[in-house]
Amino acid sequence: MLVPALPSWVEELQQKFGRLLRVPLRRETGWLRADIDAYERHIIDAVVDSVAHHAKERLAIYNRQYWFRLLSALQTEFPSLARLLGHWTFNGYAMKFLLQSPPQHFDLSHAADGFADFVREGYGAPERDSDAARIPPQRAVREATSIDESFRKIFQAPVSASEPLNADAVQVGTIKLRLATNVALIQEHWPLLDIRDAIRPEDESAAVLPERYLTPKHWLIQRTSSGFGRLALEPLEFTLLSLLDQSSLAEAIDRLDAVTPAESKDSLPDLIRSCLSICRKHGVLVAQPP
Amino acid sequence: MTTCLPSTRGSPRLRIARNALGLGLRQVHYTEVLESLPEVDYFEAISENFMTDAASPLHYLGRVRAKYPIVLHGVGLNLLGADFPDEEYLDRLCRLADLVDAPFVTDHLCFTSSEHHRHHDLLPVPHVPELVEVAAARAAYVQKRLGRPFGLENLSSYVSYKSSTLTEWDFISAIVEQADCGLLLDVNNVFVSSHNHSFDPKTYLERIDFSRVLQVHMAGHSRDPSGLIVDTHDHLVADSVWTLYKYAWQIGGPFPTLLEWDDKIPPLPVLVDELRKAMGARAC
Repeated sequence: MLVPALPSWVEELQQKFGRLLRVPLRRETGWLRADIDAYERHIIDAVVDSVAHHAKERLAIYNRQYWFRLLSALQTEFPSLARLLGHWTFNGYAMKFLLQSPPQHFDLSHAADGFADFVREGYGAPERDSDAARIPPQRAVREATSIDESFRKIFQAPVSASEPLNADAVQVGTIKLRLATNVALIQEHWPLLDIRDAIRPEDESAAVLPERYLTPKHWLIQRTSSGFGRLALEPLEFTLLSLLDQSSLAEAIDRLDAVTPAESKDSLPDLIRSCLSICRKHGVLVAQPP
Repeated sequence: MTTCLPSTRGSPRLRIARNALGLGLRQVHYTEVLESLPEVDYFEAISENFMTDAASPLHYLGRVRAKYPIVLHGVGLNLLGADFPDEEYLDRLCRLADLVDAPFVTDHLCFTSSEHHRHHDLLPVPHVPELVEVAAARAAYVQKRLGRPFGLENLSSYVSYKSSTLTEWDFISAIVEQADCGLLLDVNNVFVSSHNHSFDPKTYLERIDFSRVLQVHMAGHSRDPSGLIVDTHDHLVADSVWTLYKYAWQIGGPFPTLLEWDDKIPPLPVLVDELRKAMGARAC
């Protein structure tokens, strides 16, 4: 069946409408407002004016909706980061990112693809001098970004097509395992997961970042049928699972042994057995397809 | 009333009763829906939320589908965009429709993309005869690809074009007639656009062919500081929109009716209560 093309004048009109949507909102006044003087004459002239509502005013509704919808989507995808920075600062980064990378996917949540790298590469320069005093440390921002990215990854992951971990295969030791697609490992230096869990819809200001932990915490997060769960890991368990994701079981154990302090070596076999048992029970590891 | 919609793919298909009441399925209510099994006849899922390989959304959709019929409603088809058709999008939509055995699939009469950028908004087009031809051919193409009834929804809009030569109701009526497809009549959208563009919403309703109406949408709206009304889906349905619904039912009922709520979403019982107002409006 032939699918007819648009008349060229309609396509041109739509291109100009699309460019108008992407005109950034102004921030100088302390709130986001449409920059109606930046709209192209062609699209303004194409729209019906009325006594009560000028064409620019009508177009501004679409312009604002475009940005608010996308900013809200990015806040949803990166809640820890939005809470840590506060929505105002977060939106500043988000708008720069979206101007550089306008959405190309039909699923709104994918508008945030690439945002984590953008923040990791670009975070650091306060937008205004007054921001400098309360700007969170770069490492905390990167950690919050990575945490949100981990949740996104396991939420978007398909059902794993790999074989679940088999007890006999573990005995062989040469099998390659990897983390199931519905789990991720997180190393946490600030209580960012707690901050994430406590976010309320009305929280738009920046959270006060608590003191850094004396020693980092280690977590396994897992998408389950009822949401997300998290499991606290010992540092060596975290290291073992990280290594298993990169190498065979035998190699991972050798490498774990090499980094284990002398005083902990005696308990290492029990720790490995216990860790693998828990992983098998919760479907954390899958056998890597040949 | 009989519908003139085409039968598709031969086998008996799940149908939505003409007097059915449905709710838009939203993520915040997944668990509550499954635990409380509210007394509604069907749910409507946003297609793009489930056109994914991600396990989690599909898990919930499957569980809801086990209890209720599910119709699909899209926001990203881009029927009147230059980039149409996106065959990968259509492949995914067809697979999803087959998965839930959707009684019908709907999307909007608009464009949502230009220059390969997705705008994630429903943007109006000029109402001109040459776009009737284009839209009808494209809608017929989508319906054929789906192998099941497909319907087009009227927009809420804040701009109209100087180049338009047709009224919105004549434009959309001509398209669904020529495409031999369905109409998703959003009564709130009729009200919003009638306010923003100064036309009589009753005239709109009187000029459409209700035998093509697959479903009616109801939703809340807000007033912009400029005085324009914006289709925000974040309030109860306005009384004036219920009044218009009553008129639509009198001249064109019965038709399935579905409540949408997309922002500041209240607990599920509030939505069910709001939906039930349709029963009262029908009885008047």
